[in-house]
Amino acid sequence: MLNFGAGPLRALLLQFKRKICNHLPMQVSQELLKRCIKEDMRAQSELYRLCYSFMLRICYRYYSSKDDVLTVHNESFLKVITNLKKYDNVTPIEVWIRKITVNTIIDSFRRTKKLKETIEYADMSGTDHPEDGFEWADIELKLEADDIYKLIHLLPPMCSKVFNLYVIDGYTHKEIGDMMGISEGTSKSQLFEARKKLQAMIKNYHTPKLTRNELAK
Amino acid sequence: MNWQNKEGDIKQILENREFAFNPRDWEVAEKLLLLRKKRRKKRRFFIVLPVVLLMALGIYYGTGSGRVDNSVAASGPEKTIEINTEKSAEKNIPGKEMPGNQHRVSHQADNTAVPSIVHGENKNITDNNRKPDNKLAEKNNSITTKNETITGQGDALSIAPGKKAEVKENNIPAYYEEKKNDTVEELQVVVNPGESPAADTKDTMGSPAVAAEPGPEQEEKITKKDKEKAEPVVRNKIGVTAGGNYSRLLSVQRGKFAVLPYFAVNYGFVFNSNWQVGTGVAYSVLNGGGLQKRYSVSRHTFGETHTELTIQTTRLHYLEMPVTARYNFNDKLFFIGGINAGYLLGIKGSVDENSTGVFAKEPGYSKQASDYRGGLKPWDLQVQIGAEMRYKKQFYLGGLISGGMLDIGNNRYYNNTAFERNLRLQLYIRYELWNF
Repeated sequence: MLNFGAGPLRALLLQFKRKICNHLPMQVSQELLKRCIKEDMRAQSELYRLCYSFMLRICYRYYSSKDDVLTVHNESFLKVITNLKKYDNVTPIEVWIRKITVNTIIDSFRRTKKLKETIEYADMSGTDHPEDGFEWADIELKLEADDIYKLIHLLPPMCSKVFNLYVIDGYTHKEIGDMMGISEGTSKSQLFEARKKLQAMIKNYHTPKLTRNELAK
Repeated sequence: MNWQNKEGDIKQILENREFAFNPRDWEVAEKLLLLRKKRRKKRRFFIVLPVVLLMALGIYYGTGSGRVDNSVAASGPEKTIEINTEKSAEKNIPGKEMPGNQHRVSHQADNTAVPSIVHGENKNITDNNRKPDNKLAEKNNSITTKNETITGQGDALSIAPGKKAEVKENNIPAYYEEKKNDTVEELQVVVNPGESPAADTKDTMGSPAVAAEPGPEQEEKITKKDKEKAEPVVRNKIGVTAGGNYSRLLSVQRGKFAVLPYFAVNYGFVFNSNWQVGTGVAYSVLNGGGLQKRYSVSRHTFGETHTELTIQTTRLHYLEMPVTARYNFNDKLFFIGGINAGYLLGIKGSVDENSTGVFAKEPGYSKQASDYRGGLKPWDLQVQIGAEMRYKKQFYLGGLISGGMLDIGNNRYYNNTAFERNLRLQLYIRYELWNF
C-alpha cells in the first residue's frame, strides 16, 4: 500500500491518484458512501446497482453455478457494507471492492476445502520459470466473454483459481500462495498448466464435434 | 503474439462484459441486510441488558432498598414474643393476658430488656421489666431477670429478686443462638431434646421461628440458615489487585515468556452465596517480544551510508476491563471465568541500528523506543479461567490463565499471515477494601 506521508506533496499525489482512477467506469460519490454508512437503504440499493456488474464479473470467473455466483456476490456486498467505515477514501473504491470480493471468494474456497484435493501437478521438467517458458501460439481470439468464462471453468479447479488470481486480478505468486495455502512453486506450476490447457481449449473451441469433456482434456 | 498480449486481450474481454441489473438479486441482498440489522440490534440488546441489570441491582442493593434486615431492631415500640404451649397458663398467671395456648411475654426494647426463654421442663425468661407477682404455669420452669428470678414447679411459679440476668439451662443443650444489636444483648431459646416444645412459636420481633421437635439434622439446618440470616448482607465488594503477568505472544517464533506487573480495581456484585459477578479496570503490561520489522535506508551524503533498522516490540501496555463470574466452591476456594477486553495504551520497544558507510554509527547501536502503534491493533479480547483462594478474611490469592481470541498483530505492517495473540498466566493478590 502506498503511503504518501503528509503535507502538500501528499495532497498533490492524492489528486493525481484520483485522476488516474477516474477512468474507471464505476462512479461512487462520497455522499453515497456516507449515506450507506448511515444505513440508508436507498443509498445501499444505489451502491448495489453500481457495483452489480462489476462484482458479478469477478464472481462469474470463479464459479460456474449461478446460485454460487449470487451467493458469493451477496456475501461480498454485505462485507462491503459492513466494512465501509474502514474504507480510507484514498484507495479507489473499485480496487477496494475487488479485493473484498476476491477475499470473500477465497474464504469460501477455504471453507469448503475442496481445492487441496484437486491440485494436479504439471510436469515441470525443463522449465525453471514456467511463466517465462510459456508461449501462446498464434491463434485468433474470436471469443465472447461468456465463452471465456466457460473455458476457465473447464480448467482444473486450482488451475482456474490461480489463472484468475494471477492473470486477471493481478496478484503475485507469493500472494496467491499465501491466500490459497500453497507454495509459490505450486502456484507457478498451476499457472503454467492453466495456460497450456486454456490455449488448447481456445484452439479447439470452434471445432463442433468436440464435447465439453473432450475440450477439457 | 506473446502470452502477455493474449492474456491482455482475454482480460479486456472479461472486463468489458456487462451484466444487466436484476432487481430480484437486490431483493435477496436487501433481506440479508435487514437480517444483519436485526442481528446487530439483538446483539446490542444482549450486551446492554446485563449491564443495565447489573447497574440496577447495584443501585437497588447499594441504596439499601432491597436489603433484608435480619437483625432484631433494638429500639422502637413494644415487642412481643408469642409462644404456643400445650398447656394453658391463663389461669396460673394472675394479671397476665394469655389467650388460648399462647404465652405472651412483652417487654420494652431498651438496653435492659433481654428476654431469654427456655421451653420444656425448664424455662428461663430474663426480663428486667417483669413484675414480681408474675407466675407462669410450667413444670420446673424458672425465669431469671436482672432483678428477680421466677421459678416454677408444675402449675405454680414463684418470683424472687435476683442480681443479674442468668439463664438456667439444667444441662439442656442450646440449639439456637442469635446475636443481636447492642441494645438487645442476647436471645436464647433452649429446648429439651426429649420433649415436645411449643407447636407454633412465633416471634413478631423478626427473630426466626422455632420449629417443633427439632432433631439433630434439623438443628443443623436451622443453625446454618439462621446464622446466614444473622450475618449482615453483603452485596457489593470493592477491592484492589496487584500481581504479575507471565506472558508471551503466540505465533511469534522468538517470543519468550516474561513476568510483568498487573494492577486492578475490582467491583464485585454478589448474587447469592454461590455466585458473584465482577468487573473492574486494570492496567496490565504484557510481553510483546518477538514482533519485529526491518527497514533499509541508504543516504548519499559525502558517500553512501547504508542503515538497517530493526524495530522490535518488547512491552505492551494495556488498559483492561474484565467481566467475570465467580463461583464459591467453598469458603476458601473460588472458581473464576470470564472475558477480558484490553485496549492498547502504548508499546515499548527497541530500535537496533546497523549501519555501514561514511556516517555509520558503532555496530549494533540500540535504543529504547515507544509507540509503534501501526504494528498492533488497539483491541484485544481474552477468555479467562482460574481460581482464587481466601488467604485471610479479606485477602485472596488467585491465578488466571488468559488466551487471546483476536489477532493483535497488524499483518500488513509485519508483512506476515501469523495470528498473533496474547497468552498469559496471571498470579495476583486481591484485597477487599469495602464490603457493603
